[in-house]
Formats: sequence, C-alpha cells, structure tokens
Amino acid sequence: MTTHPHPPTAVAAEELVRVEALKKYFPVGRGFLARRRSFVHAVDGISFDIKPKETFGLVGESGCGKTTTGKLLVKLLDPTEGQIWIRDSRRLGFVLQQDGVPVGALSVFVDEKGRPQQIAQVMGGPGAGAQAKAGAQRLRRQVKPLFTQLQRRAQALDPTDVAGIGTLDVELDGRRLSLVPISRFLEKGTPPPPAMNEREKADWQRWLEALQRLEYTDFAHISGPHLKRFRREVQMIFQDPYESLNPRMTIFDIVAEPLAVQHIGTIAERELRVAEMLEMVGLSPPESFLFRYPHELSGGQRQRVAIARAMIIHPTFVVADEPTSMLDVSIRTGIMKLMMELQQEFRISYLYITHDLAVARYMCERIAVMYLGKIVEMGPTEDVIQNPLHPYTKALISAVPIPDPTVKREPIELKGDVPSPIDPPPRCRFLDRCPLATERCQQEDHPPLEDKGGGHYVACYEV
Amino acid sequence: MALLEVRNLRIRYRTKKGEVHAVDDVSFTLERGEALGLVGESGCGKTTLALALMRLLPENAYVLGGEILFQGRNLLELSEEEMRRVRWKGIAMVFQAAMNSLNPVYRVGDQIIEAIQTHQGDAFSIEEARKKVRELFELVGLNPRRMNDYPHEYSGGMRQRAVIAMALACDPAVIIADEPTTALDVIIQDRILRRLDKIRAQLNMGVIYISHDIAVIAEVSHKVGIMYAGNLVEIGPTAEIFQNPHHPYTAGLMSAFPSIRGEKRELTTIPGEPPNLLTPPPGCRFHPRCPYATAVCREKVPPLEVFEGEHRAACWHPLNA
Amino acid sequence: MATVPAPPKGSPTRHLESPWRARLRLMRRGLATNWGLFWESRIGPIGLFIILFYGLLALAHPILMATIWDPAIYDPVTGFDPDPGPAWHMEKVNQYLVPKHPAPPSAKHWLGTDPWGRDIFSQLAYSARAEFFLGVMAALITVVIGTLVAAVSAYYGGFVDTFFMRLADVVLLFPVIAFLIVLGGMFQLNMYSLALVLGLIGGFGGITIVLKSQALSIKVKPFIEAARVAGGSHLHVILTHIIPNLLPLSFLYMMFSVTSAIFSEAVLSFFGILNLQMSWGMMVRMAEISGYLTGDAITKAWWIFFPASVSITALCAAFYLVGRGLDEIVNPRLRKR
Repeated sequence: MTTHPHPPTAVAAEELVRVEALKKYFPVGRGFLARRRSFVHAVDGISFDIKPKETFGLVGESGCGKTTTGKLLVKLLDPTEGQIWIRDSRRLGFVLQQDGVPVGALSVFVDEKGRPQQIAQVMGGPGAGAQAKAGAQRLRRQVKPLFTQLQRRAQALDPTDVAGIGTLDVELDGRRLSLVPISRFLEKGTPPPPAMNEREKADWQRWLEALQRLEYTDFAHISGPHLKRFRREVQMIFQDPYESLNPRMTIFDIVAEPLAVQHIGTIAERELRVAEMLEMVGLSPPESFLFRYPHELSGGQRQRVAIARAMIIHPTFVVADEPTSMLDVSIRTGIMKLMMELQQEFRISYLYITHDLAVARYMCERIAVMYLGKIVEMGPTEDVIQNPLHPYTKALISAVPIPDPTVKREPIELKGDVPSPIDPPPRCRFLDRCPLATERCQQEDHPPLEDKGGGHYVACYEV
Repeated sequence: MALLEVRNLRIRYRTKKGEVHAVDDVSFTLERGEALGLVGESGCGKTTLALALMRLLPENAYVLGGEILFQGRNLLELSEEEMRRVRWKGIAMVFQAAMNSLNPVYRVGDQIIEAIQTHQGDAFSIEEARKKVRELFELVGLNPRRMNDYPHEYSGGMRQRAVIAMALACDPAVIIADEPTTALDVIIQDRILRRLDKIRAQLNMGVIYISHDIAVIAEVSHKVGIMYAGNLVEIGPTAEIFQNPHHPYTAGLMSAFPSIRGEKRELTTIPGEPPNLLTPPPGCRFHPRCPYATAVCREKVPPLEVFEGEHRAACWHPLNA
Repeated sequence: MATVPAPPKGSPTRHLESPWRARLRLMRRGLATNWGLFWESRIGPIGLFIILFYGLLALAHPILMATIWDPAIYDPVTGFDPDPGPAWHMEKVNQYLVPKHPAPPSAKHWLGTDPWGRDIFSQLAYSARAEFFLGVMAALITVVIGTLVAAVSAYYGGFVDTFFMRLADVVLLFPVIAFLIVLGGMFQLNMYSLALVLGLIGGFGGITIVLKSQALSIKVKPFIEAARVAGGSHLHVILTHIIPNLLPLSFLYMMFSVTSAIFSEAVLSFFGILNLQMSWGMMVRMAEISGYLTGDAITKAWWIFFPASVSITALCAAFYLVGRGLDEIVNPRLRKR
C-alpha cells in the first residue's frame, strides 16, 4: 500500500527522480538472539518526485529523517523498503503499438546526442498468458530490423533537435506498427482499456510498472558493477567542508578521484578536466590550486572543491546536504549562486537538504517538510512558506527569525518536544503536539498526502 | 554611568608566524536591561572580545591598550583575585557550543551547585544552593525535578538551558551569550531566545548577544554592533542599522541574508574573503572588498563617526549619509 | 559522459604541471617541514644521533676486520689473544706463562677482553648489526600486520572486527617472555625466526587496538562517504584513504616496536634461550655464566657486561626518543603554538 501522491500510471517522462514509499528502519539494541527488536523509523514511507533541472528542498528539524533520505538517495544506505527510480539518461524506451494496442516494448542505449547505439531490453505486451509470451518471443526475433529503422531515423535527425526521435511508423512482417516513445505514450494517460476484467487490469498495471523500468533504474535495488556505473548519474555534496576532503590528498587528487574510480581518461586528461572544473567553480587560476592541500584553503574554497568533485563526472542528480550551513553568511550566497549556475550549465537537479527555511526559499522551486520520518507538507516553495497548511509547518515557519526588526512575528507555541522515533504508534506522528488533534487523528493511521490544489500536498485530516 | 563600557580595546595574539591583530580599537557601552548584539563572521574578533571581558583570554593573547569599565572599575587593572570575584557574579558567559561543555559524569544540578559554591563561597549552604538551583530551573524553563539527571539524559535544548542557568547562578549583572542557539533547531531556538529575553527584562540584566545570524540579532537586540576583521565598523539602534546602514559591509551583509518574509529577492555576494589578521590591509580593513573604495580608504583608518543620535559608522564614504 | 571530452577548440592549451612532478615537489617540501619539526622537538635528534652512532659502529666492524684487525685475534666469536697486554697480565700456571683473561681495556683492546680472550669492542660492533636487523625487521612485520588488521577490522566491523580484537586481547594477556622461553626450548630460535615471532606477536597485539581506533575515527569522516558515492570499492577506500591516514601513526609505533624487540632479545639471550652466536644479550650472559656478574666479582671485570648493557639501554632509548620526536609531527595538537 503506497501513500504517494501520484497513481502509478502517471509515471511521467517529466520526472528525473521518483521516490516511492521509501523506508529506512534502524534496529535498536544489540544481540543476535533478541527476537522482538525495536526500530528507529528514521524514514517512514515517503514519496516524492523531482523534475529535471529542478531544485527540490527537503526541510525539517534535526531527527526528521532528511539526512537519512539524502544518504538513501545516493545509496550510502540501503532502504528497508521502497524504490528510488532515477531516469537513466543512457536509455530511451519505446512502446510497440498495433492499431493503438500495445504489443510490446523495448529500450535502447543512446549516446550523449541521443542516438541509439544498442538494444537494451525487450519486453512483451501486457498480460501474463501464453499469448503474451509468444508475442514477446516474436518481438525478440524481430527486434533487429526494428532497431535498424530506429537508427536510420535518428541519423536523419538534426543533432540539435532536443525533442528526439518521436513516433515512428514501422513495417514488420507485413504489419503496420508504430513505435511510440514511452514519454509520449504515458502523456496521453493510461487507464486500462474498459474491456478488461480484474485480473487483466492487474496485469495492465504490472505492465505499466515494467514499462517504467525500461527508462528508469531502481537505484535502491542495484548492486555490483551496474551500481558502480550508475553512480555517475548521482553525486553528493556534504555539509562539512573541513571533513569532506581528505587532508592528505592534494586538490587534484580529491577532484580527480571520481574519474579515477570510474576509470575515465588518462592522468593527463584528468588533470586537464580537473583544471577546467576548478575554473568553473571559481577557483582561478586553477594551476595555483591543483597541488595545494585542503588546509591551505578557506572554508568557502573547500566547499567549491567539494562541488567540483561532485560535478566532475557530469551527474544528472546531486544531493546537497546542508552545503552552506557551516559557512559564513557572505560566503554562503557565493556558493548558492555557484550551484545555481552549474545547474543551468549541466542541467542538474538538486535535492537540497536544509533546516534553514530562508535558504530553502531562495534555492528551491519545490519543498517538502519532514517530521519524524514522514512528509507532512509538500509543494511549490512560495506556496508552502507563505501559505502553510499543516499545523507543524505553520509552527515551524512562525519560529523562523526575521532579519527585519520592524516585522513583528507571532510564534505559534507547540507543546512538548519531538517524540521518539522508536516504534512510533500507528497514528499521526504529530498527534501529541497538534493543536487541531481530533478523535479521528487518534484512531486512524498517519494521514496520507493529499493535493489541496496547485500541487500543494498536505498530510492532515483537519485541513 | 553605563553598566559596562569598553574603550578603545586592542587585543593581539602572539603566534609563531607573528602577531595577530585580533581586536583593534573597539568601543561600546551597555546599560542595565539593554541587549547588545554583536554581529560578524568567523575571525572578526567577537569571541576574542567576549573572552577579554571575562579576562579569560588564552596565554598567548595580550591586551595592547584600552579599558573595560564594569560598574566604573577598569577590569584590566584588577588582580586575578579581584577579577575572580567579578567573574560569574558580575559578568557571566554562555560559551559557544556550551551544551557540549557539561561534564558528562556529574549530575546537572550538582554542576550548577558547584558553580554557586565556587563563586559565592560560604554564603550558600548546600540546601540553599539546591533551592537556588530549583529557582534557576524554573527561570530558564526546565523541570526542577530533573535536577538530578545526567547531561546525556537531556536534549540539546535542555542542555543549553542548563548552561544558561549556570551562567545566571550568581545573579550577574551582565551575561554574554556567544552563539547561544547555533546548534539548535529553529523551534527550540525561538523558545530559548524568548525565554532569555524575558529573563533579561525580569532581572534587568545587560545582555551581549554574539552571533553570525543577523536574523536572531535583529529580533533580540536593542543595539547592534557590526564587527569586521577586528574592528567595530558600525553600531547603533537595531531598527536604524537594519533600515539605514551606513557601512558598505553592513549593507552587504543585510542583502546577503535570505528571509522568509517579504519579497523574494536576489541575494548579493561580497566578493573576496576576510583578511589575514597577521598582516591586515592598511587603512580601512574592508577596502579590498568594498565597491566604493578610494585612495583614502587604502591609506587611512576611518574613525567611528556619529551619524544620527546613537548611530555610528566607520567609513570614508558612508551610504545614505 | 563515458569519455572525457576534448577541450573546446580555441581554448588556450594550459601548461599544467605534471602530477608526478608535483607529487615529488610536495614530498620534498613535506620532508623538509617535518624535519624542521623533528629537529625542534630536541629529544628526537638526540635519539637519532645515538642510532647513527651505533649504525656507524655496525658498519665499522667489517671494515676494521678487513683492515687493521687480525681476524685470529679480533674475531668476536673465535678470536683469541694470547698476549693481551702488559706483563703483569700474565700469570704463572704450572710453570707456563698464561695470559690472564678477561683483560681490562687497553690500547690494543679498547674495551678489554672477555674470559675467553675475545675482544669486547669487536663483539659490540658485530652485534650492533644484528640488533638493528632484529629490531627493524620485527617492527616492520608488526606494523604491516597491525595496520592491515586495524584497517580491515575498523572498515568491515562485525565478525572480522570481533575476531581480531579478541585475538588481540589474547595476545595482550600472553606472558610473552615465558612464551618465547618455551618456544626457544622447542625450536632453535635465530635472529630471523625471532624477528618473525616478535613481529607476529606485536602485530596482532596492542598496536592493533590503537591503530584500529584511529582507523575508526577516519572511517566516519565524510570524505570516506564521498569516495563511496563516487563509486569507490571497499578496497579503494581502504588503500587510498584509510591506510595513508594510518601510516603516520603506524610509523610512530614502529619506533616503539623496535625498542621492544631489542629488549626482548636481550632478556632471552641472557637466559640462554636463543641460538645466537653473538649479541649484546649474549655478552651479558657470558658475564653471568663466568661469574663476573654477581657479588663482589661485579667490579672485577666490569668491561664484559657494562658496554653491552649500556648499548642495549641506549639503543632502546634512542628509538623511543625518536618516536617521541615523531609524536609531535603525527599529533599536531602537541605542537606548541
């Protein structure tokens, strides 16, 4: 049972990252023999999505689970449950349709320009029966000529045409079929055809989810060399510029490490690449920084090095865990602006984790507010901050100091403190402190996130 | 007579590489019941200044010149013995990251009792000290029944309150709070700052808040002083400073600070970095980063000039003058 | 993304310093800085001086043997001097004039002779080489094992960690000298095997625990996480990040291991456990078994045991002092402001 805002059918090509029902529980106490153990519900079933070139903020107080979420998204931790779908920029998927009915699907690996290089995966049409299996086998035999037609079409395209390949009409075995890019296929909406019974509807749902997998990778469940290769897509910027750089390594070694680990380039090529990157992050002239040690640099400069390291392998998604909270105010804005510039240049999405709502307002287009491992409110930043709906968000915002002595702030008093995240009872996590608590909040499980209009989601029964 | 007056204070550190000009020619006053906020970034000298007021500077630091007048007496002229009587009873301090400085092997209540007995001596018996601790706990918003707990049983916010209680233990006239809420969550920070402000009003104490967070300073201070590279570059009533800053650094700081209210605007950066205080730049120390710097700024140190009423700034080309 | 794109046309080709040149330059600079700190510690250079002295001694022996010394007389094990000194050192035994050994120090024998007529100075110098070898070899084995075990234990934790830590506990509890005595009784222990045994015992013992706690403090640093996020394997993290950060501490403990090794050998030789021809411990033993070490006789032929004992103490202390000198480099917090 998932409690995320989108029904599974609406996996849009517009999403770069999609987190579904993500959970991370840590066992409390030791002992191999302990039968009933307690768990810290650090992340307790959250779902959200991040669009390409978007900065998505994750805000909350300490212990709310935002840092853990960040670590899950870069696979420093393995999730207890849930999925993390990340758009694999190397893959492009197509649905094979005959007279408007999908009979199969395939995905291909593409190069940087979007041109197909190689077949990745082939899939049959919806349905688990023998007919579907036969269809899949037939498709596998015929996929080569399909692929050739695809390549030819791609070559004919203008290389600057970002829209890409588009729908392709093909001939196969004398049949007229069409190859529709998955994004386009899903855009049109994907309700199950009315003629289906219950079991067929379930098959349809499963087929859609499998379709999703063609263009996305479930980052949470890959390992080995597949994981290592995929790490090029996702990187992280850490909070502490003093501790996130190895003090015994030169700046060159530090920034080149991802290249070295991923076996990219020769040493000379790497040096060139690092120098260019250093210049891009504002450490100029790069020659004077290449062979210095971290302790010779200031906090702001070190954070720029950390950013260079994260960007050097051109990821599509970067998790930034409080990257400016340990820096001086006048340095902070420089770093934030740098991140925004790089976002434009490299077309990156950020997950920006912070406890500072003012910074989140400045940096993020959308934010999610976390409390005790759950998302309690989510939506466009200005909306959530100027018009908070959840009682916790309201209290949080009312507590933020304003750097303007003429503004009078009315802080909302919340009783009590944040409760323990160990084995929380199955009801609204905010119950003991909420001024709006009712019987219903006591009886039922933690409320699901609901859209209150304009993409502004709240998890509360009383709003 | 002001409760606390600092005049032309100069402090240097002796290091292997030379002398660090940590604090240079700083002057300000503090009245009873007044809250002064000192704002500045790392290395500006605010913590050094605070330690100097308590005469708790490290061994390699020395006061080059100036006076610290507390209730009329120059603290720099007192002997160590006399200063010990002023410390904690006259001026008390809540240090940075104080919540980590509670001794983990002693109960919280006992640590405060120790502070009381050390500084008040025979005037307090154990019973009286315990009673005082209970009062202090109520004052800072802690449950007195938790007096006998150990620090690790307290949350971060509670530990910070305990440390504040310890600072108030001997009824000081002045409290210096160095980054009192930096490591705390925003809701707890709000509670503690409001509580501290209530205590200040209730006991008519003078409070010096030191922070890099100008939002916090804006809300709790009557007067704000901006420090940069060891100098006090601007000082005045809070509303004045925020609405009408005269020093370019102050203005730069204000516009580099995001806020959740008001229009969402573009943030500005102050280019460059704070100077190395071993060899501070000549003239105005801000000139390498100042967009308005001219020849005079590079040569002569601007004095702290009076503008409107209590509002002073040290700049050859002040803004909005 | 799979290949590094070439620099855009028209951009100036940079002349970047080759990383290898840079590394060399930085190493030289690092050595110079560290030497400066070492020199300032004052006790470090003293230790180094003593080590150099004994080093020269060890080097001098084969030279002396090849040049000015007659091997028949000066060989440390088999030499015999029929005429050690002035006439009053001869005594009449059954009508024959017999040289009286042990003879006190003289121009011919700088540190005198032992009861068997062998030159003490020659013995001292000859053994110096063996002592160095033993100490350094044992210390090297200790440190290599200790560093690897510490890194692996700290990084993987769990069963591996528990296993090595319990092993270390057992080794620590072991009465090492007694164990070595038993071992010496069962096998013939020479310098090589002794170095190996001491190295193994040291490596799995106390040093592992200390290095592991250092490795643990490194493991939780964010730059380790950054390496993992970049795609670094466990091996990469251990080799590139953990072990280089452990090496300064390892090197430091190596000095203390040398001390321990030399001292252990001395004790074992004294008890006659080891199968060595000549060592400083043996020299003291010879004094013991020929009766010159106890009671009143202790002043009669001090030159038999005194130089050897002093040398043992001096060399042990020397390595310890060097270790203390290095301490300030390894632990920056100990440096004076």
